[in-house]
Amino acid sequence: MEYLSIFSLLFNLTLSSATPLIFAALGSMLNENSGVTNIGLEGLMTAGAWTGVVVALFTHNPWLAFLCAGLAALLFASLYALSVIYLHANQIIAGIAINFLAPGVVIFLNRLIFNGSVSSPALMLEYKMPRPFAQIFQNNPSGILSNFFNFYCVVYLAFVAVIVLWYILYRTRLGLHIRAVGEHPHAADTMGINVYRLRFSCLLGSGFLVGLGGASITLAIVSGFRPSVISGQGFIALAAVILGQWNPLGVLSSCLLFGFFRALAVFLDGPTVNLQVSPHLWATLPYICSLLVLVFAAKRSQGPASLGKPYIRS
Amino acid sequence: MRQNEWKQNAQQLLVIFVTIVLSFFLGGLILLCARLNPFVVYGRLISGIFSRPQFIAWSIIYATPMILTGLAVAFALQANLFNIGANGQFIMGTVAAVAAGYFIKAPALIHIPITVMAGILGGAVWAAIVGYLKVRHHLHEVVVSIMLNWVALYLCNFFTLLPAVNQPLSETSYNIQPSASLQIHFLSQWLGRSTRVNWGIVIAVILAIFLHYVLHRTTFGFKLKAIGLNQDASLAAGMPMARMQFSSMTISGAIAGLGGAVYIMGMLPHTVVSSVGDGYGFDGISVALIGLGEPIGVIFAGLFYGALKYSAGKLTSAGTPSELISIIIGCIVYFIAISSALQAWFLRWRKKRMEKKLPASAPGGN
Repeated sequence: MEYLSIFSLLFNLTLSSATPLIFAALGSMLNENSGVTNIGLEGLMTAGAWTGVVVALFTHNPWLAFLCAGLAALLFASLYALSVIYLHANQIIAGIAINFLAPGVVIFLNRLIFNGSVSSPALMLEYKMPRPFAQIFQNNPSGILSNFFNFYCVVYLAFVAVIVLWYILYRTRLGLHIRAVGEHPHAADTMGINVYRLRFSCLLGSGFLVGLGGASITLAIVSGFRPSVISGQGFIALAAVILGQWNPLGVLSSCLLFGFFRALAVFLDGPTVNLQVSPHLWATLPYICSLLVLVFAAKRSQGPASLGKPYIRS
Repeated sequence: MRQNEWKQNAQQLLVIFVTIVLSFFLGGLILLCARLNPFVVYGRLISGIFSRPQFIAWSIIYATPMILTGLAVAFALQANLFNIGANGQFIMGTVAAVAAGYFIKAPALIHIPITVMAGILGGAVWAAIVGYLKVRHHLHEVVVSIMLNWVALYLCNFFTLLPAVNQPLSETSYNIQPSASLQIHFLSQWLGRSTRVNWGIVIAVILAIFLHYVLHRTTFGFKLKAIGLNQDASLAAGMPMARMQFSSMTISGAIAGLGGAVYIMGMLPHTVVSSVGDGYGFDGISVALIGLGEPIGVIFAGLFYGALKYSAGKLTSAGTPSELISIIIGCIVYFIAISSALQAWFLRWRKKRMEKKLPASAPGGN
């Protein structure tokens, strides 16, 4: 029974910490499949995370907030897309610019709205994303069964997004075009596919998903915005795409793996284990494990052939 | 040839200048949207830098670590490597410098070089991991160094809270010994007690000139730039690609680590527990880009950014969010990213205008 309870706790923590990663990594996977990298993920997530909280605080409607978070990130993503696709900017430099701009703008606004503070006020429970099955587990909200099944709806949505993206990429004409553009843009262009427009749309779609990822942190897992709320998860999502070999199911499993490392760090630091090791040391665990996994996975790594290369139509 | 080079440099300087003006203009628009008077805010920003000798001194103090991390990033950039990990290397530099500066007891003449070397070593080791993983396992340096940035941050927190170095009841470590300090006390006395004037800026400028020499006047620098410009050609020419990439990454980390050591020895004599992963290393990336990846350019870019950052810190208390500077710097980096396309547009536009003008003016002319 003891083990089962530990397992259920880890399971719960894993899924919750994997959710923002799944959204962000799916987004990143979408644009990388079309041949564009975006290291501005971190900034886009921050924009989504902040917008979500603020809209929820003012409208009391978490669903509207979730949607707006995606749109806010999409706005910044369009700025990025404009520069790298139509203006042939270096993708890393433009990504760095986004990582400055997006958090800069939202924290600037936060200070204006909330009297000079860099964090938002806490979001009340009833305005957070709902837990659809909360009713069933009302009697024992921290029990084993609740740990297994009682999640915020963003967790389920993340899985839905995986299926949708898998379907789009591998079962539709659009998906075929996206992958063709990522492999060989010249050939795709000759076939009559508008490379610029397709890559642009992929970046927009990706921005939306990444924004949802940011919001799924602030609207569900924690309740409120602070500048350190993303803390590198955008970059972990980038690593998850490499590890997941640029396909949705692979990305899902690598996000779950990274989520598990995060869960492990939280769990080992928690009161159940009590190993008397500094929490700061445990906090390094997800990053070190991610690196180690990457080292082992990178040998067979095979990304889209034209990834990161600007396409200049002649 | 020489003249051509000059023309190119002048053109690039012009681009940076236009970029900066444009970014401040955009920042002004944002201020207007926030119902703040941009002239007042910018006026305060400028007087916050120049109106007192103490302010100028502080601007230089703020700029020093940025110049060093900027040099680190710029050096790697010459070999076409993006050292986003400068922040982690900087942090490891501060940790090593505090360890050496606090535990070792020696006269200043020995203690200072030891502490500097410790910082350099801390940064170099941290970057060597990135270089090794890049060369041996073909992992992208951006992803690896970001992960290591966070590991460094948490390791620094862990270090700061160790009973041996933690100042009781605080989230900081003990201060380093006075014998490891780089502060210039008589200048601090003159400018005001709390002004931490230090020798760091001298170190940074000398290093920049040295790196300029290495990059433009030595075979090593030539190889480095060759790899940065064209990997395939350099490989075909028999250059030891892997070794060059590894060593340029490690040297870059050593410079960032030096930045950490100088920061500890001159500015803030202890490490602090922190949860936010942005710091001087990230500033170094924009400094390197604004300085066009050239060591001499980095000095000026660092002074520019350092002064802005110092002065902006004082804006917050006056009701203007200091993030204004992040936005302006973000705009500058964004414009730099798209500058080549804009330049091409401009040239095409000018050519078209010339062509239009020529036939029109030909009959009218004598």
